[in-house]
Amino acid sequence: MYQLAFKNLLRRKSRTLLALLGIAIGIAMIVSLVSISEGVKARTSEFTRTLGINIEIVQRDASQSSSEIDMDIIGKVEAIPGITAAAPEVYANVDIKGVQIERVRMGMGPPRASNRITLVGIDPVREQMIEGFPTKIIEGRLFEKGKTGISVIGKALADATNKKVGDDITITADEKEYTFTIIGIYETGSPLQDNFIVIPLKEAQKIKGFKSDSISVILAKPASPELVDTLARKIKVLVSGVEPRYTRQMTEQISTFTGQMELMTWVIAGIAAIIGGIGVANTMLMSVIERTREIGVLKAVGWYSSDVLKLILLESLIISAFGATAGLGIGALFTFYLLPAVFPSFMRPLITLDLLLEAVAFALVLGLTGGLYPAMRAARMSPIQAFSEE
Amino acid sequence: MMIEAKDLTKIYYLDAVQVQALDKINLKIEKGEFISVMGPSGSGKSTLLHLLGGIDRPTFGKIFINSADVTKLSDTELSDLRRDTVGFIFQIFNLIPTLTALENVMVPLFPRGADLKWVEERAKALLSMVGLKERMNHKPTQLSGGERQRVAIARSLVNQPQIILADEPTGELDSKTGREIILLMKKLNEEENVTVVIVTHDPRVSELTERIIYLQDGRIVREERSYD
Repeated sequence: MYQLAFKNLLRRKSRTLLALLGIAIGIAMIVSLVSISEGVKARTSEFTRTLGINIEIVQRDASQSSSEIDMDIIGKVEAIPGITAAAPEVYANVDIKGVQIERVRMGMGPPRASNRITLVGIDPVREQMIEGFPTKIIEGRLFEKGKTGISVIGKALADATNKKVGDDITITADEKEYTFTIIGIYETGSPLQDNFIVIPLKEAQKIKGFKSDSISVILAKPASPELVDTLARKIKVLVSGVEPRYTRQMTEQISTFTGQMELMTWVIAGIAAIIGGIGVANTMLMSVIERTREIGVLKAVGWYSSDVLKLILLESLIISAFGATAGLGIGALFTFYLLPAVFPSFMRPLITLDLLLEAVAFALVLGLTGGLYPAMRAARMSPIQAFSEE
Repeated sequence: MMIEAKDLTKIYYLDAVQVQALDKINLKIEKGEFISVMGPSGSGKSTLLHLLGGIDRPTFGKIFINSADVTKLSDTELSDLRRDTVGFIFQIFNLIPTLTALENVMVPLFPRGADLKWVEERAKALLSMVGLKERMNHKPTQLSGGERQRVAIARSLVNQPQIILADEPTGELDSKTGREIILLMKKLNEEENVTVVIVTHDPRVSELTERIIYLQDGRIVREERSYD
């Protein structure tokens, strides 16, 4: 029966190829779009994981770099039972001389390479109490309180600038140059944070143009992760003008966003694949109508209706199986070679085995459903057709 | 008794017009007979062949094959009958164009493919018997009309049927080739004791058969036997 199915498909090669291409394009779209969205998802969950459980307190409706709050809030926050420590941070956007840093973006869109990086000012003692990200030193050491002219930088920044411990790094802010000696390199695994330069708080305040009692954010460490919700509510009530943010809240927002994005990519790709399935249905229907007499002959020589049904379904399954294989190839080629070639710093796409299996299963289901009506129509054909003149 | 038809009647509707294709046909065919059915176009001879072979169902009346009532069989049982007991030969050969001669002979048993090797051996033997040993791997388009009908005969024999039903088997052939085909069927009839019923309007065909049944307007009007 397989040889008959194959030979039937080869009878009109271009028509079969077009139906196959329809499935292939649908599957390729599923593979590439979903793998891109999976990549974004993996990257964002990696990002939120590195944030830890600390509550970030910023000026209401401001971002890290636009926020400005009073230093004495630290005392108010630390007074809340359940908060074990709090640390100030100053965020500033500065330019780095001589190199272009690829900027990590959370979504899709054109990549940007620029010389703009994030500068973070910290109090090393307090930062260690909250186990902040600059404390994950892999080379050298973290600076001590009161020192100036020194910095620790993220590993990605170190790699991009080709700097190591002991080298100087120069940044510019408001057309003024500042030079710091690198005494340590940290690594968090988050491409965002690993591009930061971290310096003592006081110097960051100067660069930012803040007075000594102003900072950008406060990070507050809860005694345990379960307390985060309650503590965030308390902070909101007790401290006016600020907004507590924390990882779970961000994770929820991000996962809602990535979930919607994933659903949308499946819908778009699914529509493409269903159109492919309609192509299979059309091809098989034409083929069945053309072969009316032949199908009559098969029934006249003793084939059951179910045998005819199987033959036609087999043919549409062959189309969709080959279509799916081609689609996986095209999709993988697109996501791993074409996309990075055109957009070098695009989100790393992620093809999982689950995705491949889902795509193939989807193609086979499409083939079966697309072939069902033509197959049933063929199975119902009468053997008398074999005798009738054209 | 191999085949028996009792009051066989077939009525169908063509654009709401009632057509009585067969009108109370009573017919008995013994095992090993070599029969032709003659009559003008529209006399019901093809309809009779369809009913005898279980391809169509009668409106009234009964058909018995080996004493079993064919009209009571399910669709699946009719398929079994067509595959195991009856072999069909068509006027226009009805070969599958994508398959070789050998595969065409094997086609009835494709879905039951339990032992394809056995089927293949039998198909090869049958093609040799009909004189196509050298042309087994040719496709129908590479064969002449007579060769195609020989493939069709081999196909009808693949499952060792007891009855061969042929609908105008020489209609598309020149008279010399047509005669060869009928003589081949005659040889099968004599050597394998297969019952053969040939529908034709060609007297050169019917004169080679033992019994001729004449149909007109769905009724048997005359029977002739040759005693040579």
